[in-house]
Amino acid sequence: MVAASVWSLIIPAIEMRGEMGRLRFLPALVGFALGILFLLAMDCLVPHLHAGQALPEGRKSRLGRTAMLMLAVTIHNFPEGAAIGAILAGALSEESPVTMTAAILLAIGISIQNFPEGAIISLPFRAEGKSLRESFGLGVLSGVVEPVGALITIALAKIVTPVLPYMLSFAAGAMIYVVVEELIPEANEGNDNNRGTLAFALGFALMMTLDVMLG
Amino acid sequence: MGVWIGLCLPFLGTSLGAACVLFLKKEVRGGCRDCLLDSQEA
Repeated sequence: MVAASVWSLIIPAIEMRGEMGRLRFLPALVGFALGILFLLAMDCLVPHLHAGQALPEGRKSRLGRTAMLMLAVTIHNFPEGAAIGAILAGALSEESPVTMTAAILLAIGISIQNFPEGAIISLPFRAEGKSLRESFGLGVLSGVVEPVGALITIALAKIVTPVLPYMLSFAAGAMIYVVVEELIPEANEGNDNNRGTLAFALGFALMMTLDVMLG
Repeated sequence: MGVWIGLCLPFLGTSLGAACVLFLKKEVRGGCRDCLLDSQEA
Protein backbone atom coordinates (compact mmCIF):
# COMPACT_ATOMS: atom_id res chain seq x y z
CA MET A 1 0.00 0.00 0.00
CA VAL A 2 2.88 2.38 0.76
CA ALA A 3 4.63 1.67 -2.56
CA ALA A 4 1.32 1.90 -4.44
CA SER A 5 0.58 5.23 -2.71
CA VAL A 6 3.92 6.68 -3.82
CA TRP A 7 4.30 5.31 -7.37
CA SER A 8 0.68 4.91 -8.46
CA LEU A 9 -0.93 7.90 -6.74
CA ILE A 10 1.43 10.64 -5.49
CA ILE A 11 3.98 10.69 -8.35
CA PRO A 12 1.26 10.76 -11.09
CA ALA A 13 -0.54 13.52 -9.10
CA ILE A 14 2.69 15.60 -9.15
CA GLU A 15 3.36 14.84 -12.85
CA MET A 16 -0.16 15.99 -13.79
CA ARG A 17 0.65 19.52 -12.60
CA GLY A 18 3.98 19.84 -14.45
CA GLU A 19 2.97 23.33 -15.70
CA MET A 20 3.22 24.62 -12.11
CA GLY A 21 7.01 24.16 -12.17
CA ARG A 22 8.62 23.94 -8.74
CA LEU A 23 5.21 24.25 -7.08
CA ARG A 24 3.80 21.18 -8.88
CA PHE A 25 3.90 19.28 -5.60
CA LEU A 26 1.28 21.59 -4.02
CA PRO A 27 -1.93 19.80 -5.22
CA ALA A 28 -0.42 16.49 -4.12
CA LEU A 29 0.53 17.95 -0.75
CA VAL A 30 -2.94 19.43 -0.19
CA GLY A 31 -4.71 16.20 -1.27
CA PHE A 32 -2.39 14.08 0.89
CA ALA A 33 -3.03 16.27 3.96
CA LEU A 34 -6.80 16.16 3.36
CA GLY A 35 -6.67 12.34 3.11
CA ILE A 36 -4.83 12.07 6.43
CA LEU A 37 -7.17 14.56 8.15
CA PHE A 38 -10.29 12.84 6.77
CA LEU A 39 -9.25 9.44 8.11
CA LEU A 40 -8.19 11.01 11.42
CA ALA A 41 -11.67 12.55 11.74
CA MET A 42 -13.35 9.24 10.85
CA ASP A 43 -11.17 7.43 13.38
CA CYS A 44 -12.08 9.91 16.14
CA LEU A 45 -15.78 10.31 15.35
CA VAL A 46 -17.06 6.94 14.14
CA PRO A 47 -17.48 4.31 16.87
CA HIS A 48 -15.66 1.17 15.74
CA LEU A 49 -14.00 -1.96 17.06
CA HIS A 50 -10.98 -3.70 15.54
CA ALA A 51 -11.02 -7.52 15.49
CA GLY A 52 -9.16 -8.89 18.51
CA GLN A 53 -9.46 -5.66 20.55
CA ALA A 54 -11.53 -5.42 23.71
CA LEU A 55 -12.24 -1.68 23.73
CA PRO A 56 -13.92 0.26 20.92
CA GLU A 57 -12.45 3.43 19.42
CA GLY A 58 -14.15 6.65 18.37
CA ARG A 59 -17.19 8.21 20.01
CA LYS A 60 -19.07 6.27 22.69
CA SER A 61 -22.16 4.58 21.33
CA ARG A 62 -24.66 1.83 22.05
CA LEU A 63 -23.93 0.02 18.79
CA GLY A 64 -23.47 -3.73 18.99
CA ARG A 65 -20.13 -5.51 18.59
CA THR A 66 -21.03 -6.69 15.07
CA ALA A 67 -21.94 -3.21 13.87
CA MET A 68 -18.75 -1.73 15.33
CA LEU A 69 -16.58 -4.45 13.72
CA MET A 70 -18.23 -3.68 10.40
CA LEU A 71 -17.63 0.06 10.87
CA ALA A 72 -13.92 -0.60 11.57
CA VAL A 73 -13.66 -2.51 8.29
CA THR A 74 -15.56 0.23 6.45
CA ILE A 75 -13.09 2.86 7.72
CA HIS A 76 -10.24 0.60 6.63
CA ASN A 77 -11.68 -0.24 3.21
CA PHE A 78 -12.84 3.24 2.20
CA PRO A 79 -9.32 4.53 1.35
CA GLU A 80 -8.67 1.43 -0.75
CA GLY A 81 -11.90 2.01 -2.69
CA ALA A 82 -10.99 5.68 -3.15
CA ALA A 83 -7.51 4.68 -4.36
CA ILE A 84 -8.90 2.21 -6.90
CA GLY A 85 -11.46 4.80 -8.08
CA ALA A 86 -8.88 7.59 -8.33
CA ILE A 87 -6.35 5.51 -10.27
CA LEU A 88 -9.04 4.13 -12.62
CA ALA A 89 -10.26 7.69 -13.20
CA GLY A 90 -6.65 8.65 -13.94
CA ALA A 91 -6.29 5.77 -16.39
CA LEU A 92 -9.48 6.91 -18.17
CA SER A 93 -8.33 10.53 -18.34
CA GLU A 94 -6.24 11.64 -21.34
CA GLU A 95 -4.44 14.28 -19.28
CA SER A 96 -3.13 11.82 -16.73
CA PRO A 97 0.12 9.79 -16.96
CA VAL A 98 -1.61 6.88 -15.16
CA THR A 99 -1.96 3.72 -17.27
CA MET A 100 -4.63 1.01 -17.03
CA THR A 101 -1.83 -1.52 -16.29
CA ALA A 102 -0.87 0.50 -13.19
CA ALA A 103 -4.53 0.57 -12.13
CA ILE A 104 -4.90 -3.20 -12.52
CA LEU A 105 -1.62 -3.75 -10.62
CA LEU A 106 -2.91 -1.67 -7.72
CA ALA A 107 -6.19 -3.64 -7.81
CA ILE A 108 -4.23 -6.94 -7.69
CA GLY A 109 -2.12 -5.67 -4.76
CA ILE A 110 -5.22 -4.59 -2.82
CA SER A 111 -6.98 -7.85 -3.73
CA ILE A 112 -4.11 -9.92 -2.25
CA GLN A 113 -4.15 -8.01 1.02
CA ASN A 114 -7.98 -8.16 1.11
CA PHE A 115 -7.87 -11.97 1.27
CA PRO A 116 -6.81 -12.16 4.96
CA GLU A 117 -9.05 -9.17 5.73
CA GLY A 118 -12.12 -11.07 4.51
CA ALA A 119 -11.08 -14.01 6.67
CA ILE A 120 -10.48 -11.95 9.83
CA ILE A 121 -14.02 -10.61 9.52
CA SER A 122 -15.90 -13.85 8.84
CA LEU A 123 -13.95 -16.09 11.27
CA PRO A 124 -14.56 -14.01 14.45
CA PHE A 125 -18.26 -13.76 13.56
CA ARG A 126 -18.42 -17.55 13.26
CA ALA A 127 -16.48 -17.92 16.52
CA GLU A 128 -19.04 -15.64 18.19
CA GLY A 129 -21.80 -18.07 17.26
CA LYS A 130 -23.19 -16.67 14.00
CA SER A 131 -24.22 -19.17 11.31
CA LEU A 132 -21.89 -20.12 8.45
CA ARG A 133 -23.98 -18.22 5.90
CA GLU A 134 -24.25 -15.13 8.10
CA SER A 135 -20.49 -15.10 8.84
CA PHE A 136 -19.65 -15.52 5.16
CA GLY A 137 -22.23 -12.89 4.17
CA LEU A 138 -20.87 -10.33 6.65
CA GLY A 139 -17.32 -11.00 5.42
CA VAL A 140 -18.40 -10.44 1.81
CA LEU A 141 -20.42 -7.38 2.81
CA SER A 142 -17.34 -5.83 4.42
CA GLY A 143 -15.76 -5.61 0.96
CA VAL A 144 -18.73 -3.90 -0.73
CA VAL A 145 -17.58 -0.46 0.39
CA GLU A 146 -14.57 -0.70 -1.96
CA PRO A 147 -16.30 -0.94 -5.36
CA VAL A 148 -18.97 1.52 -4.15
CA GLY A 149 -16.30 4.02 -3.02
CA ALA A 150 -14.39 3.47 -6.25
CA LEU A 151 -17.46 4.14 -8.42
CA ILE A 152 -18.24 7.35 -6.48
CA THR A 153 -14.62 8.51 -6.90
CA ILE A 154 -14.67 7.78 -10.67
CA ALA A 155 -17.96 9.69 -11.04
CA LEU A 156 -16.59 12.69 -9.09
CA ALA A 157 -13.34 12.73 -11.07
CA LYS A 158 -15.26 12.66 -14.37
CA ILE A 159 -17.43 15.61 -13.32
CA VAL A 160 -14.49 17.74 -12.18
CA THR A 161 -11.35 16.56 -14.02
CA PRO A 162 -9.01 19.27 -12.54
CA VAL A 163 -9.44 17.74 -9.09
CA LEU A 164 -7.93 14.42 -10.17
CA PRO A 165 -4.43 15.17 -8.74
CA TYR A 166 -6.08 16.06 -5.43
CA MET A 167 -8.12 12.85 -5.48
CA LEU A 168 -5.09 10.68 -6.26
CA SER A 169 -3.10 12.17 -3.38
CA PHE A 170 -6.17 12.22 -1.08
CA ALA A 171 -6.43 8.44 -1.57
CA ALA A 172 -2.68 8.11 -0.92
CA GLY A 173 -2.99 10.07 2.34
CA ALA A 174 -5.93 7.95 3.49
CA MET A 175 -4.07 4.70 2.67
CA ILE A 176 -0.90 5.84 4.45
CA TYR A 177 -3.01 6.69 7.52
CA VAL A 178 -4.42 3.14 7.62
CA VAL A 179 -0.94 1.62 7.14
CA VAL A 180 0.68 3.64 9.95
CA GLU A 181 -2.24 3.55 12.37
CA GLU A 182 -3.34 -0.04 11.91
CA LEU A 183 -1.30 -2.35 9.68
CA ILE A 184 2.29 -1.66 10.84
CA PRO A 185 1.43 -2.00 14.58
CA GLU A 186 -0.44 -5.28 13.81
CA ALA A 187 2.51 -6.59 11.77
CA ASN A 188 4.88 -5.92 14.70
CA GLU A 189 2.77 -7.60 17.38
CA GLY A 190 4.28 -10.60 19.14
CA ASN A 191 7.86 -11.54 19.96
CA ASP A 192 9.25 -11.78 16.44
CA ASN A 193 8.64 -8.46 14.70
CA ASN A 194 11.39 -9.03 12.11
CA ARG A 195 8.98 -11.05 9.98
CA GLY A 196 6.58 -8.10 9.70
CA THR A 197 9.44 -5.76 8.72
CA LEU A 198 10.76 -8.20 6.10
CA ALA A 199 7.26 -8.80 4.71
CA PHE A 200 6.76 -5.02 4.45
CA ALA A 201 10.09 -4.62 2.62
CA LEU A 202 9.25 -7.49 0.26
CA GLY A 203 5.79 -6.08 -0.53
CA PHE A 204 7.21 -2.57 -1.04
CA ALA A 205 9.96 -3.82 -3.38
CA LEU A 206 7.51 -6.00 -5.34
CA MET A 207 4.97 -3.22 -5.88
CA MET A 208 7.70 -0.72 -6.80
CA THR A 209 9.22 -3.14 -9.33
CA LEU A 210 5.88 -4.04 -10.90
CA ASP A 211 4.73 -0.43 -11.04
CA VAL A 212 7.89 0.89 -12.69
CA MET A 213 8.33 -2.06 -15.08
CA LEU A 214 4.70 -2.45 -16.17
CA GLY A 215 3.02 0.84 -15.17
CA MET B 1 -13.22 -3.80 -19.47
CA GLY B 2 -10.14 -2.79 -17.44
CA VAL B 3 -12.33 -0.60 -15.23
CA TRP B 4 -14.58 -3.52 -14.32
CA ILE B 5 -11.58 -5.78 -13.62
CA GLY B 6 -10.12 -3.05 -11.40
CA LEU B 7 -13.41 -2.66 -9.54
CA CYS B 8 -14.04 -6.39 -9.08
CA LEU B 9 -10.54 -7.64 -8.10
CA PRO B 10 -10.43 -6.14 -4.55
CA PHE B 11 -13.97 -7.33 -3.85
CA LEU B 12 -13.05 -10.79 -5.11
CA GLY B 13 -10.09 -10.89 -2.69
CA THR B 14 -12.34 -10.03 0.28
CA SER B 15 -14.98 -12.59 -0.79
CA LEU B 16 -12.42 -15.39 -1.16
CA GLY B 17 -11.01 -14.54 2.26
CA ALA B 18 -14.49 -14.56 3.78
CA ALA B 19 -15.09 -17.95 2.13
CA CYS B 20 -12.38 -19.43 4.39
CA VAL B 21 -15.05 -19.72 7.06
CA LEU B 22 -16.92 -22.22 4.87
CA PHE B 23 -13.99 -24.59 4.56
CA LEU B 24 -12.07 -24.38 7.83
CA LYS B 25 -12.65 -27.11 10.39
CA LYS B 26 -14.45 -26.41 13.64
CA GLU B 27 -11.24 -26.73 15.68
CA VAL B 28 -9.58 -23.98 13.66
CA ARG B 29 -12.57 -21.69 14.15
CA GLY B 30 -12.41 -22.48 17.88
CA GLY B 31 -8.71 -21.62 17.80
CA CYS B 32 -9.58 -18.32 16.21
CA ARG B 33 -12.00 -17.60 19.06
CA ASP B 34 -9.33 -18.53 21.64
CA CYS B 35 -6.88 -16.13 19.97
CA LEU B 36 -9.43 -13.35 20.17
CA LEU B 37 -10.17 -14.05 23.83
CA ASP B 38 -6.43 -14.18 24.65
CA SER B 39 -5.80 -10.85 22.97
CA GLN B 40 -8.77 -9.31 24.78
CA GLU B 41 -7.48 -10.54 28.15
CA ALA B 42 -4.00 -9.19 27.38
